[in-house]
Amino acid sequence: MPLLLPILLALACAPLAYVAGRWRPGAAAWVGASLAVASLVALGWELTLGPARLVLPWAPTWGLSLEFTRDGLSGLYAVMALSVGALVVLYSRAYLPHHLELKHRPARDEVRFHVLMLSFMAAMVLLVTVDDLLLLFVALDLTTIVSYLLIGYDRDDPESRAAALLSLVLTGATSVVFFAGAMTLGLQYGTFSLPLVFERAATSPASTGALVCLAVGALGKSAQVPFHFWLPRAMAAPTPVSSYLHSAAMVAAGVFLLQRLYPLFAPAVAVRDGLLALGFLSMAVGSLLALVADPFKRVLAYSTIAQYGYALVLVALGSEGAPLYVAAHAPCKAALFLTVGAVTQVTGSKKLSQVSGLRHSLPVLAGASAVAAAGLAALPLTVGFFKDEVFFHALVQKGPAFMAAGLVGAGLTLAYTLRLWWGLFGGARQDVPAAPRLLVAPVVVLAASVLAGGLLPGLLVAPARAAASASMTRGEPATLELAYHLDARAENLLAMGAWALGAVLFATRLAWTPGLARVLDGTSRFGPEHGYRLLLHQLDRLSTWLHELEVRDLRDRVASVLVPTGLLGLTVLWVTPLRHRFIPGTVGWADLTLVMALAFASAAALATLRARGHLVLVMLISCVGFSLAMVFAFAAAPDVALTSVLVETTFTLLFAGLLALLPDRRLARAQQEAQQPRDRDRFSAGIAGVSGFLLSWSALSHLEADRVGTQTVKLAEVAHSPNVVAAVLTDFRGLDTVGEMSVVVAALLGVTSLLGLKGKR
Amino acid sequence: MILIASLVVGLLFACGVRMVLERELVRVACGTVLITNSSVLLILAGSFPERGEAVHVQPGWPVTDPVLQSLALTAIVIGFAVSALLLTLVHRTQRAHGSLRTDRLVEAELKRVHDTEGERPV
Repeated sequence: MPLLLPILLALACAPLAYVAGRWRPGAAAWVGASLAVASLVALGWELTLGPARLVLPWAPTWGLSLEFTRDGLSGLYAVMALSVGALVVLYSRAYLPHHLELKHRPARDEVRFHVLMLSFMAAMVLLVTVDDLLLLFVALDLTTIVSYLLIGYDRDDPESRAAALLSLVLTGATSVVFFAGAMTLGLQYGTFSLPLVFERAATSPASTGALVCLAVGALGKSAQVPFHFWLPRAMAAPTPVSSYLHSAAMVAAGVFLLQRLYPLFAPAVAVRDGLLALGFLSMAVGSLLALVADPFKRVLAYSTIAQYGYALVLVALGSEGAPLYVAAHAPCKAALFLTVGAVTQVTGSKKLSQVSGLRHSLPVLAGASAVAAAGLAALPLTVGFFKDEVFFHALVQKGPAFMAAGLVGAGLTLAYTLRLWWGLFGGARQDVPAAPRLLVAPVVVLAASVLAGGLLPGLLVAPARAAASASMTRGEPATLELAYHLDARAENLLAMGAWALGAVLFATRLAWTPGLARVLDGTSRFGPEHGYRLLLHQLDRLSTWLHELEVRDLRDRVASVLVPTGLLGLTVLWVTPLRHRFIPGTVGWADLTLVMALAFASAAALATLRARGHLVLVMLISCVGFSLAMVFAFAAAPDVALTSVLVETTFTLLFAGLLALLPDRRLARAQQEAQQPRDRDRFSAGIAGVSGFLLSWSALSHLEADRVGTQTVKLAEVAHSPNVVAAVLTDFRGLDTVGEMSVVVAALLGVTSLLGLKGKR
Repeated sequence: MILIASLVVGLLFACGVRMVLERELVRVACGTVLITNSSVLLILAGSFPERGEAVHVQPGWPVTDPVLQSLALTAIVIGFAVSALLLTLVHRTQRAHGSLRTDRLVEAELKRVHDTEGERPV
């Protein structure tokens, strides 16, 4: 099972880091990061062996198995998750102690953070490696749960708790929708294994409903409009979390899902057009909000929404560059997040309006982040240039309107990236203490990778093609080309236009920023975030109201179970198509005794409702029991009748004994107060009775003619028992009888211990 | 016969529910006894339409369904055990709280929660 080695190593990171953290808190990050690097090496070795699949049987009778794949797509995303993960964990080693000190928390809490980060990394590696719809969902939910814990890491801070809850509710709810889509596909194709699903989808395309469900799950994860608002709120998390989850890992998971499942989406043009529109919308919304946001992390969060909008557009257009786009974006965005984290640590401020001119105090950080920003803004000599090249390449084939939209989007990207970098490092000089080396080194490494990709694009071609052929081209070899062309082709012209637009927008920013901020502020009142808040508030009110209603009176608590159950039973009867639903049955003279006994039981039961004294009540209850014993005797069930008489006698004595134990005064008072029936109790009882009556009538009308009983009678002879009932109880259903005995023993033990307890009088 | 049996089942069940919804614990216990009785009757009512002889069966004669009888027996015994436990609980509750009324119990419970949680009003 060589395919599992990187996954197992990734899964081992978190527990081993925890163990190391118990020994010495500072060691957790180093152990975790080195294991992540080991996993990365193992993965690299795996990838040289070529594509492979691994199927481990899980529940073969249900057709379920654990399926893993090693192809270009999983390789690309796993490398991204592991490498950025290792760097971010090292960065957290330097970031967390300061953060914990600010929050007045003990230093050993650092271990918890590393363990969670590494668990998230493992979940991400699992997600990109599995090749099965159900496992895909499981891994998706794992990332959701760990991200909830990570966003809410500052658990004393109500804002971060609320943000964690928001992201859990939103990504959890959308992943349930994804699950519904996966189940629909599983039922449609009779398998959850992705290669089989793709194979069968080639002849019968997946239903639009299922595809929309899958897309909703992916959009929620990738923070696309209309689910985008959880991402900026999630910036309440410590910066390493934002850097990892919200640039390279969790947000990428949504787009990854779409790429993994692209063979299903390829024939569904309508769904892809919808995704295209949402992608452009997310680009516009994210870019515009990034242009006016003041906190650095919010700028980056909105930029992430916009950038994943690009990726969504590429997927919707079926472009081969979609996996490359995500992979090129990740190091740039992660580096920028780590930069702003370092800036916040040394300056203590979180907003663009509070810092400026840091290039003098933090020259290395300024240089490295300039490279990352250039990558994000798609300037040449960085890997980012190629992400925009594939983007423009896809748009050129669609037509001028798409080209114009792409140009504006890329121009806005350059404008907000310049605004962010210049806001941090440009302008009037501000002197701050130097940043710790471990905070700067990961940024430098990421920036170096951004530069390397830009200078040697040939290195990227093979992985990008492998990823594309595993997803977007559905097995066909990809023809993606990455190179600089110094000619007037459309892609180059679009890129130049975008740079010009971005530069103009940046130069004139003071003129339009206040107006744009006002407009966006006004429209945000009608956005989906407002709807979410309203929904949460109303649900809260409903829950409080229900709780009040339930707790105030135990009777309502009982009725709230009984009445809906009764109504449910009636509904089931109503909708079930049954022929001869109700059979009245025949009554002969032989049944006379039976009917009389039944009438006696009914009369006694009705009389209990009117009983005044407790003794009368007990007598009436036992009268019901004895009448039923009579019924059983006439119904040719002597064993039951005998047992019933015995039980009723004991029970009556027990009850009378209880009455003797209870103080008379209290009994009399309770009795007076009890005689105040409410109308709704009568109503509940009526519903329950009618439902019980109709359900039993329907059940008794549909008895099978071929009973088990006839078989049992024959079998009893084999069991050498003249009494069939005894044979059933002690032999055929012996285990049930043992269970019954244990219930009786447990009840008796309970009775004796309760009576023996000394309590206050 | 089917109609009559199911009518009685429904009636016993309705009376039981009505008693369970009372405010006083002794009656609640009585209500559960009635509900138990109704379910035993329902189980055995399956054998009413074609019941035969139970004792000294000649080969070939109609017999009452023995499976239903054994099920009913199990139900009766378990019902008895649970009712006995319930009655003891009624007794215990009365001793602990000094009341047989459910609303008093709720008040006491709310007060206890209030006291332990302190700051959070319920």
